[in-house]
Amino acid sequence: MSLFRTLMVLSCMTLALIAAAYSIGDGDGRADFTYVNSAGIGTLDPASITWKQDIRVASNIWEGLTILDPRTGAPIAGAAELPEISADGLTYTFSIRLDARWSNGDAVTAGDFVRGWRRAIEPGSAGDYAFFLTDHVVGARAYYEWRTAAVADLSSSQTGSDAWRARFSRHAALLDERFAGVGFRAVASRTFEVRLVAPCSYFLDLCAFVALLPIHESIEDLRIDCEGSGITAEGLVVYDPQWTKPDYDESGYPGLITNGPYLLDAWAFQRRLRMRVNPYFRRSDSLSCRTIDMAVYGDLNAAILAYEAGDVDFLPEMDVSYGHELAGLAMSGARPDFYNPAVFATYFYLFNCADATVEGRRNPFVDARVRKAFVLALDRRLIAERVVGRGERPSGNVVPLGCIAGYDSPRGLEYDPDEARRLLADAGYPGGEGLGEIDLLYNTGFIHERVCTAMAEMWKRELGVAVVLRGKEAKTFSEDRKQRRFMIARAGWYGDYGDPTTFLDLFATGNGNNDSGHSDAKYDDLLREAAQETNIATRLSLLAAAESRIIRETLPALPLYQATQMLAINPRVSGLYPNARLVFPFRYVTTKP
Amino acid sequence: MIDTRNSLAWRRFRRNRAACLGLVVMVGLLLMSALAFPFSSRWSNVQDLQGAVRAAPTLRVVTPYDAYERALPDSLLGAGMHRVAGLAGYDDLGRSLLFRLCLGWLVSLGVGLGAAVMAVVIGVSWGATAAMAGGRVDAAMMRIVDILYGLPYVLFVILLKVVLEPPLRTVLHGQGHLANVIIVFVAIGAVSWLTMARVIRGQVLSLRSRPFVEAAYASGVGRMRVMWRHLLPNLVGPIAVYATLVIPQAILQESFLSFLGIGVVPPTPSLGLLATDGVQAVNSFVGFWWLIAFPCGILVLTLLALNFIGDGLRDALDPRTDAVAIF
Repeated sequence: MSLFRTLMVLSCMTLALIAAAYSIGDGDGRADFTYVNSAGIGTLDPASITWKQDIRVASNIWEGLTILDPRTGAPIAGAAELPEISADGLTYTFSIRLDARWSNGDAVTAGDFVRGWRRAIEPGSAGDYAFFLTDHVVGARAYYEWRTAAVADLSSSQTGSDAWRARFSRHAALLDERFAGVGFRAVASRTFEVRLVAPCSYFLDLCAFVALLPIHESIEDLRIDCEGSGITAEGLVVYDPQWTKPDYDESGYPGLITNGPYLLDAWAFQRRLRMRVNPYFRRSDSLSCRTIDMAVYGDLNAAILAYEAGDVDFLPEMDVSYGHELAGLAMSGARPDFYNPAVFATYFYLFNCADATVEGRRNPFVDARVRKAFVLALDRRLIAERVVGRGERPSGNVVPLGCIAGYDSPRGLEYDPDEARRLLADAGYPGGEGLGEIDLLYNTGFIHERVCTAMAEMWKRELGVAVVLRGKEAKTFSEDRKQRRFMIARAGWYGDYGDPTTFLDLFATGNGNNDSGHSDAKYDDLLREAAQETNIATRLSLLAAAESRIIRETLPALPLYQATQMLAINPRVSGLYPNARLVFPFRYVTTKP
Repeated sequence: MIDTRNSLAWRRFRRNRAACLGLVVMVGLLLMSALAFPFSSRWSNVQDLQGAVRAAPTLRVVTPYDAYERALPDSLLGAGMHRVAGLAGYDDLGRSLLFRLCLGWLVSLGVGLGAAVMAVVIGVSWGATAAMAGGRVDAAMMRIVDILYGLPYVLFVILLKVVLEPPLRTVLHGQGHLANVIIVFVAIGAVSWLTMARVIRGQVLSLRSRPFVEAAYASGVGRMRVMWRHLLPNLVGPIAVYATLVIPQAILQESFLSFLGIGVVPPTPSLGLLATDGVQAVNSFVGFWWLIAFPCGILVLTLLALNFIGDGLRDALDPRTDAVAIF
C-alpha cells in the first residue's frame, strides 16, 4: 500500500512539474498578430542592420523621415512631412511632425536624426550602408575618409604612449569642427536639412531605410569613450552593444526607446520577440493590432505546419524544398492565401575575380573569358523553371527587369555552349583540361544545394570541368565569401531602394558589399559619370551601359533569375500587401477574431 | 581445436533464424549493388531536368538512353539497367533514385566497413597492449581513451576535416569526392575504436591470469607469442561481435553527419543524404513518398540485418557456450 502511495505522490509531482513548465513557457498569452521569422534577430542596431528580417522589426519600432507605402513601394511622409526641395534639387528641408514622439513621451527632434545619421558614418558604429550617405551627402565622404584614416593612425601607435596622446588629442579636438562640414544638420529643433552633392531622384526612398533612422539621446550614456572625447582610444565610436535591449538598465539606461508605431516589449534571444503599441505614437489608439509576436522557427516546414494549424498568421517567407508545389497552389488559385509576388531581387552566383590563388589552388576565374564561358554554358531557363520552379523569371540581368520606371535593361547573355567551349579553349583550357577542381561555395539549406548540384552537372557536361560543392552553414559561408575564400559563391540581393545603383554598386571598386573583388575602370567611370549626371534619362542610360558592361563583358556575376517570394497570409488578416519590395508595415494590419 | 570451434560456431549461427535472414539480406543487397556499380557510379548524377523531375516510380522509360550515353558503351546489362532506372522513382533533379540508392548503399557500407576495420586494428592493439603492459603504461593509455571519450563527437569530426581535408585533396589530385568519403570513415573510425579498446583490455586482463597463459609463460614463451598464439584466438568472439555492431553504428553516424552537412558531400549519394533529401520532400500538401520510403526502408533493412548478424555471432562465438560444447 505504501509503495502504491509513493508512486501516486511521485506521479502527481511529475505531472505538476510538467504543468508548471508549460505555464511558465509563454506566460503572456497570444498576441493579436503573430508572424514567423526563420532566424532569431541578428542585431537591432539600425546602423549595422543588413538582414531583411532585422529590417522588418526595426522599421516597425522606428520611423524614418519617410516610410514606404506598402501598396506602391513609393516613399510617403513618415516622422517628418514630405520635404521642401530646393530648385536645384540639392537641398532637402524636412519639418518633423509636431506629434512625433519617442516611446517615453519625448518629442522627436532634428537632433535625433543628426545623431542617427552620424552613427551611420562614424567608424565603429557604421555598417555596410555608410555609402548611402557618403555617396550622396555633401562632405560625408570626406569626413568618413578623414575619420577612417585617423582610426588607422591611432591604432598604429601604442595606447597611452606620448605619440598616441598627441595624435589622439589633436584628432579629438578637430572632431566637431570636421563634422560641421557634413551636409546634414538641425536648423531648428524640428527642422532637419540635408544638402546633396548631386540631384538624386530616389533620395526620399533612401530616407526610409533603417540606416537613416533617428536615435534617442538616452544611448549617449552607453557610449564607451576615452576621457570624455566621445571616441575610444582607437578613434572609434562605440556603444555598449546591449543598448538595443528593451530591459537593459545598466547605469540608469531606460531600455531601448524608439519612435515607431510599436515598441519592443520583450526579446528572448533566438526565440521570440514581442512588440506592443507605442502609446505615444500619433493616433496610436486607432491601431488595430495591439500586440505582435515574432515567432522564431528555424525549420520553415514546422512554421508551415504552425500556419496550417492557425498558430501563426503570417509567413513572410516559405523557402522550403517543396516551394514549387506551394507556388503551384498559389498560381492555380487553389490556395488564395498563398502569394508568390516577383520581388525586387536577383538570385546570382559570384566569381572570384581578384585572387590568383584560392586556398593554395590556382583560381582560373581571374580570366574574364573563363567567367564568360561558365555563364554561357549554363541553361538558366532549366534552372529557373525546373529546378526552382516557383514562378521565377530566368534573367541574365543583375537589375530585375521592369521594376524601375525609365530604365531600359540591356540584354543579358543567352545559353550558348558552343561559344562557351570556344572561349574556354581560348583561355587555355580546351575541354576543361588544366582547370583542376572548381570550388562552388554555398550555404546549406533551402534550394541552394539543389541549384548548385544542377549547375555542377551542367558545367561537367558542357565544359568537362569537375566542380566540387562546398556547402557551409550560413555564418561560415558569409565569412568565407567576405574573405573571398571561394572560386564561385552563391549570392542574392534585395534592392534597398528603387534605383539600378542598389544592384550595380555591388560591383564597384571598393564597395563594402563587393564580394567578387570585381574592379573595372570603365565600369567605375560609367557609375561615376551617372552619379554626376543631372538629367534623369541620361543618367539611366549611363547606368544601363554600366550594367551591360558587367553582364556581357566583365561578368563578375552569373545571374540566374529574378526571385519570387512565397508568402502566406491568414485570411483573417487584412492590411498586408504582397509587394516587390517586401515591406510589411504592421501599422495597417487589422485582424478578425 | 580452432577448426572445431569454428564449425560449432557456424552450426550455432545457422540455428539462429534471424541472423541467417540478416545474412541473406546483406548478401542480396551486396550482390545487387555490386552488379549495378559500373552503371550507378556513372549514372547516379545524370539529371533529366526536362522530363523526370520528381517523376513517380514507374516501369516506363522516362529518360532516353542518350542522356546516359556518355557513360558506357551499349551492352545487354546496360540496356537492362536503363529499363529499370525508374523503378524507385526520380528525385528533384530528375536523377534515378534506384541508381542513387545502389551507389549510396555502397558508400554507406564502405564507410561502415572502413570504420569497423579501423576500430578493430586500433582498438585491439591499443587495448591488448595496455592490458599486457599493465601498471603505469596501462593507466596512461586508458586515460588517453577516457579523454578521447570526453571530446564532443561533432567537434572532433569537424577538427579532423579541417586538418585532414586539404592535404588529402592534394594527395588525391582531382578526387575531392573520394577524399571526402575517406575523411568521413576515418572520422568515424577514430572514435569507434575507443569502446573496442576497453572491451579488449578487459578480456585480456581476465585471460592473462588464466592457468593456460601462466603455463605458457612458465614454459618460457615470450610475451608477443603468448599474445599472438594464446590470447588472440580467444578474443575472436568479442572482436567479431563488436565489429559487426560498429558497422551499423557507423552507417547511422554517417547519416547523422551528412544530415548536418559535414559528412559525405553531394552529389555523391549516401543513405543519410538520400534520407535527408527525402525528409525535405515530405510536406502536408503533395506527397513524394518514394523519396523518403525507399532510402529509409533500405537504411532500416540494412541496420536490422547487421544487428541480427551481430546478435547471431555473439551467440555463436560466446566462449561460455563454447566451453559447454567442448567439455
